[in-house]
Order: sequence, then C-alpha cells, then structure tokens
Amino acid sequence: MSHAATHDHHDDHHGAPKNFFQRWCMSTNHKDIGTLYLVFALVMFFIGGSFAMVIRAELFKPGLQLVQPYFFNQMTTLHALVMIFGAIMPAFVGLGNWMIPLMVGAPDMALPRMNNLSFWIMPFAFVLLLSTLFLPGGGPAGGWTMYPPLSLQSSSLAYVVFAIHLMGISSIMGAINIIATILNMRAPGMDLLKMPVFVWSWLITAFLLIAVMPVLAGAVTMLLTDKYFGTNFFNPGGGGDPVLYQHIFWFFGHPEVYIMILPAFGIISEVIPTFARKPIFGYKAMVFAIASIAFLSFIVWAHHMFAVGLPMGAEIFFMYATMLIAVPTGVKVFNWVSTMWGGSMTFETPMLFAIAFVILFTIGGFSGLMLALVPADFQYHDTYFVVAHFHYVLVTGALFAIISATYYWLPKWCGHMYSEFWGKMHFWNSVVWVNVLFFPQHFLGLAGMPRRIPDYNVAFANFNMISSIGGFLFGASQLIFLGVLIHAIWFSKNKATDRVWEGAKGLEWTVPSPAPFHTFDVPPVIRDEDLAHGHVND
Amino acid sequence: MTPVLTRDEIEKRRKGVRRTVTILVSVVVAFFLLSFIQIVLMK
Repeated sequence: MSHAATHDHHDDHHGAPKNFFQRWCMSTNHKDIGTLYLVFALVMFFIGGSFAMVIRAELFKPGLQLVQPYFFNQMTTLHALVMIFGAIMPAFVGLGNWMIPLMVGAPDMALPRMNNLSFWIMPFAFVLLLSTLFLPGGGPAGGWTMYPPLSLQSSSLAYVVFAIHLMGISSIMGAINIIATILNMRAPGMDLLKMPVFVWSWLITAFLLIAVMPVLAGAVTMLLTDKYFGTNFFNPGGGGDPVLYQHIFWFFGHPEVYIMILPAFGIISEVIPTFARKPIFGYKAMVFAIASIAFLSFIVWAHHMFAVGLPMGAEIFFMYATMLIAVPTGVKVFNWVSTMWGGSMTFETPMLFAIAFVILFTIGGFSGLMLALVPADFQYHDTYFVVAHFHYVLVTGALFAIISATYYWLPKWCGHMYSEFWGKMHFWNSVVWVNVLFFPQHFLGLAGMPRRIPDYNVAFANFNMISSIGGFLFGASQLIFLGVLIHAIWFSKNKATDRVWEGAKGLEWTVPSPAPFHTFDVPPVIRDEDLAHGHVND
Repeated sequence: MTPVLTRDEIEKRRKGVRRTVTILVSVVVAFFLLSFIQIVLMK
C-alpha cells in the first residue's frame, strides 16, 4: 500500500533517475513531486495573471475598449478558477510536499504513488478547463461560483464540472496523503506539539479539504444533472431552488478561503522567528488559533449570501460568527508582532514579504470585518469593495506568503542563494504596485461600482486608471521573480550552507543544501535545541 | 545513537496509514452524500 511507510531498507545511495520521463512523470519522491507542483503553480500564476491583465486593460478607461463583454466575463471567471485551483492551492501543496517530510523527519510521504497521481491529474484538469476558450461558445462566463441558472446557460459547463471533479480528486488525495504522513510518519520523538507551525497549519488545512471538496463535487454534479439529465435541484420550475446551490457552494467556498490562508499562516510563523532570531511567541496559542479559525470557517458560509434574503436570525448568527474569527486571527497577528518585538531582526527578502503579509493581510481582515456587518454588506455586496477585500487577503496574504516561502526555502531546494538585490527589487516593486492596484478598488466599491462588469460610469474613471497602472506594473514585477528563480537555480555561483539562515531552526536545516534525493531514511534524533518549537511551555 | 525503526514499528506505521486512509475516505464519501441529502431535506 505505502512504500515509504513500510520500507526498512536504506536507499540513500540511490540518486534521482537519469531518465527525464522516469524522473518527472513516474516520480514517487516527495521533493520531485513538490517541485512539479511548484512549477505547475508558477505556470498557472502567469496564465491567470495574463487574464487579469486583460481585465485591467479593458477597465483602463470607461467604455468597451478591447474585448467583448462575454469574453470579459470569461476572463473574470477563468482568472479566479486558475488562480485559486491552479496557482495558490497547488503552490501550497508543493510546499507541503517538499517540506512536511523534511520537517517531521519522515523519509517521504506516506503514500508516494498516490502523491504522483495527485499531481498528474492537475495538468489534465487545467488543459480541459482552458481548452473551453477555444471551443464554440467559449469558456465559462458565469463567475467562479457557477451560480445557477446563469451557469447552466454555458455550453462549457460539462468541461468545467469535469475539470473541477479532477481538481477535487487531486486535492482530496493530496489531503489524505498529508494527514497520513503527519499522523504516522513522524520521527520518534517528534511529538505533535513539537511540530513546526507550518506542519500544523497543513494538518488542519488537510482536514478542511477533506470535509469541503466532496461538497463542491456534489454541488457541481447537481449542476451537471440539472443541465443534462433533467433533474431540478436548482430549478424553481421543477420545485428546486437556486439559493440552495449557494448554500452548498459556500459551505465549500468559505472553508476554501481558509484552505488558501492557513498554510500561509504556517509559513509566516516559520519565517518571522528565523529573521527575528527568537522562538515564535505563543506556539500553542498559534496552533489553537489555527484550529479555531478552521472550526469557525464551517459556520460562517452564509455571510456571502446576506443579500439573498435570509431570515433575520440567520443573518445575525452569521454576522456574529464571522466577526468571531477576528479573535483567533488577532491572536496570530499579535503573536507575530510579539515574536518580532525585541528580536535581532534582519530584513532579507523572505522577511520583507512576511512583514508585508502581516500588515497587508490585516488590512484585508479589517475590510472583511466591514463586510461581515449585515447592514453595511447590503451596500458593499457585489461591488469592487469585495474585490479589494479578497485580493488583499489572497494576493498580499496567500501569494506573498508563497513568495516568502519560496525565497526562504529556495536555497535548501536548489543549493544556491538567490540574488538578494533582485529579491528586494521584486519585493519593493510588488508591495508598492499591489497597493496601487487594489487600494483604489475600496473607493470604487464604496462609490458603488459593481464587480464583473466590462464598462462603467465615467465617475469611476480615475481610480480605475490608477488601479490598471498598478496592475500592469505589479504583473511586470513578477517577471523579476521569474528572473530571480531562473538565476538562482541555474546560474548562481553562491552556494547555500546547510542552515542557510543564521536564525533558522528545524529538521529541514539539518540536511545538506541542496537536500539530497533521499532524506531521513534513518529517522533523525530529535533534540529540542534543533527544533524551532522544542520548548513549548509558553 | 541513531534510532532505527524496528520491524514492529514499521508494521505499526503501515497499520496506522491504512487506518487513517480508511477513516478519511469514509469522511469524503459521507460529505459528498451530505450535499445531496442537504438539498433533499431542505426542499
């Protein structure tokens, strides 16, 4: 059943297969599969980003400029689907694949062959999804939420649903693998409460994935049967109700938001202690805060639906439940700040992105609190305020954490240091232009500009132009990131040390850089002083 | 002294992985069906 779980031979003398096909297509090695996920996520990031460029180019000026409205709608829909399912989630899975076995002292994932299958489903899912752009009738254009009855009018629905099923199967298999690895493959002495926060965040995220991805699969299956098999789950004409779809979708959709942010919390909890040269403040509180946020994420879904006409009691419940999430999130933000407080801080690129995360994600959190207020949400609903809010959470939150993690662990992966100068150039360009891009969208939303429209009132022209300029330059800044990665992997002469960062602690820094093809075939000895969170009395 | 996993410990890991996967797959199936049941009950 599981190779890594059962093997008792020491095969660290085996290198990576020389044959390209065998190495990358048949791989059962967690590091290679992690690399595949990360490369895939990067490709999807640029494809999804190109869709965003089309959106911002069209919105540069009022009036229809470049594309037809239906194509614009395809761009907004595919931008979201590609970025969420193709870029952010696979990037976290890639980081988890690479780092979790290294962090818990396991030789590999518990189910290495399933790990290979989990990855190789993804390219097929996205080829299927993106192929709809070249089909008669075009791609999905009803928004990533696929609300019926609008989504049922799309001729590409079957392709999209099948692609989502494949992504869901991949995510579920990945989640099962991560849970099985963390619960069963830890080195002797690596107690649960000695695990790095990143591992904890992934354990909890994997449970979220297992609970909600099947619900999404159920919802889209019902869409499919409504369109092609004559059922009426969401058709009022046949006794169904479209609002029920929204309940089921958001029962998936809200935990999905946390699936995209909890591993980011884990990353930031690794990076900040390293560069502050202090253990994380309140390790247990950080773990319990992640668990609390995960629990609360299941009982807040209807805050996406305040405007559909819920009963007053339900609106009040979902409003207060949503506001409650601010408590554990606040615990995390204060603990990150307390970790930095009095630390011997240095500001290498991963730390810069981590600090930007703490500040800018908190802005996204605050606008989320505003949206949680039922009376206020009636005005903000479906405006650019919502767009600004979730981009602060997902771009300056999830994406910045992924970038921070990439700079942080890249020397361990490839054995070379990246260019700190260009890393900082990437950071400063990103942090300036991302705010030029998204901050004005708060004002647009408050002034009443609806989301998902290709044309708008001339009153919104100036802020849209500023936002588009920010968008183009933020997009261009990511080319610096690509350049830094290519340089570090193939051209950098600057060899990385094993520990890489002066303040880095944890098992992953005890192996050579680059990490050998096989690690921890013999379980490591766990010493509290080697672990970032060895002493957990606080 | 480097700890080496004994045969018993390896067997324990194997059983643990199998048990974890069985439980998690059951949860996945249950939640998939739950979405349909939820619709039927709410109608």
